[in-house]
Amino acid sequence: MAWTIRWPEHIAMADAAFEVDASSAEEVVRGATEALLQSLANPVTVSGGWERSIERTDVDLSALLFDWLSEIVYWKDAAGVVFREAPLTLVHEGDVWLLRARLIGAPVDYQTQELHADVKGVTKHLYHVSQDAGQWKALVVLDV
Amino acid sequence: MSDELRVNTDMNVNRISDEIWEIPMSEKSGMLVPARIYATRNILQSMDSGVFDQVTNVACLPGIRRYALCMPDGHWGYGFPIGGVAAFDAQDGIISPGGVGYDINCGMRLIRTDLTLADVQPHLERLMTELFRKVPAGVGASGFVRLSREEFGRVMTHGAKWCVERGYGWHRDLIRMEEGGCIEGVDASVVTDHAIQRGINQLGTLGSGNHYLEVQVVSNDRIFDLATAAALGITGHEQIVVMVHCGSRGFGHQVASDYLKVFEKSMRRYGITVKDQQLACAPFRSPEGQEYFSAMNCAANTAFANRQVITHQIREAFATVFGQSAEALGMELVYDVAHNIAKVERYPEGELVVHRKGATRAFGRRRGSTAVARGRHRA
Repeated sequence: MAWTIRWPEHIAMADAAFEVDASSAEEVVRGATEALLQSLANPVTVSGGWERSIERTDVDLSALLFDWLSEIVYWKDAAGVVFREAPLTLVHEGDVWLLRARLIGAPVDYQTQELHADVKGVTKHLYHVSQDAGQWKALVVLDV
Repeated sequence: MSDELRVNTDMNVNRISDEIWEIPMSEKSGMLVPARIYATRNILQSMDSGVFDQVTNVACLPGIRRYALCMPDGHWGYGFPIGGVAAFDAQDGIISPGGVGYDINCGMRLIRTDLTLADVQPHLERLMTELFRKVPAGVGASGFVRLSREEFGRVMTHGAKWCVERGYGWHRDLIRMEEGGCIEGVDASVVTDHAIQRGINQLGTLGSGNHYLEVQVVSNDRIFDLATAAALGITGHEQIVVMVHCGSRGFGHQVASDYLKVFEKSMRRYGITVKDQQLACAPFRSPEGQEYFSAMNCAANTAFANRQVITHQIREAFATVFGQSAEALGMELVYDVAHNIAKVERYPEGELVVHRKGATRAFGRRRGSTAVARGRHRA
């Protein structure tokens, strides 16, 4: 795992925020994905059975990550699921970032899963993805 | 004791009165009106820096009239501060999802009962279990109401009226809600498929975060105006009431997110710049502005319906536990009011699009056909 996740508590009083540091763009997307999955439920308590393949492209990595995280929140509500994992690859081809991911989870089960917050959406408050001296950072505030 | 005002901003904050403070237009480039904060000195000094920054950002939005306002409980929010109020000219002003909030028509409702603490205490555990069973909360919660897309369309256009027609409430509930629980004349075709998919199974669910369903006790020493409280059915003497705080859930959030995206693109076309991405907006009279207004009203109606279905479930839970009908238990709705909404209202200045985020309207008694007047209980 080549990323670290922090959960600053001072940023969003009634909501949730996370910061990800990673060694590559792909890892920062993986870290942010993991942070969101953990915000919804403890992934190790979620079995499989539900799966979606998702592909997204954008010239702007920041926009791509925002849309991808928003899509995870969408499926949480639309399919009534929480997630175990989301293996993904990110490549930069020409000017375009290409994300290929599998979203794997199971229907919400109060008996067997450790459920966390019902995230309503990803916000643009303080939102950014940046690169500095080979290190990638993302800050995401979730509306709960 | 020092009289020096210590606020969390470098901007000048001038005292207008003991409860009104003003940040002049000179304090930030682009301010079109001053910002005013309603607060005592102590409350003002405890406000976070985000309040001052955000309320002055709002003062820069096109078409704003008189002041960008912040209420005493103001605190940092997304775009507008929570507790933020701003009115924009309906002809040449804007509408902004950031002034409404992601949880469109998040609101509060209070249900009274004839029960007292002594009646409820022995049954509290069973009552809580029943409430948890009937009103789902948290991640992935879906309600017991199963809807086709067509029927969900009727929820969007008819709000709490739809619920009452389906037996989820009493006709008299409707007169005790802002707008009678239904904002008329909305066009559901402007709501995206994404939003519908997120909302279609969420009717009757609380969500999480700071949303709650609370069984509360009214003590006599907490009633400040006995006559008004009595007119509203609040009699004290350890009376049990139930309060609900929730809104349009993922559906409203998706509507807000969808139109923030639309507005981010269209702002360039309309020559609008904003100080914060989450203040993205469109001219109210533009096609984009009108579509958002309609979609926002669909979400507002869905929130009225959500709180109404929850009320139905609360009444069922109490009836089950206490072995009497909700009517016999006196479970009347006291009032339901939105605190995240934009509305077109007529003032001496003309027609204004009033954004209230984490703020409720409370008109005086002379103000004729208003939500408060229509919802007022009679003694």
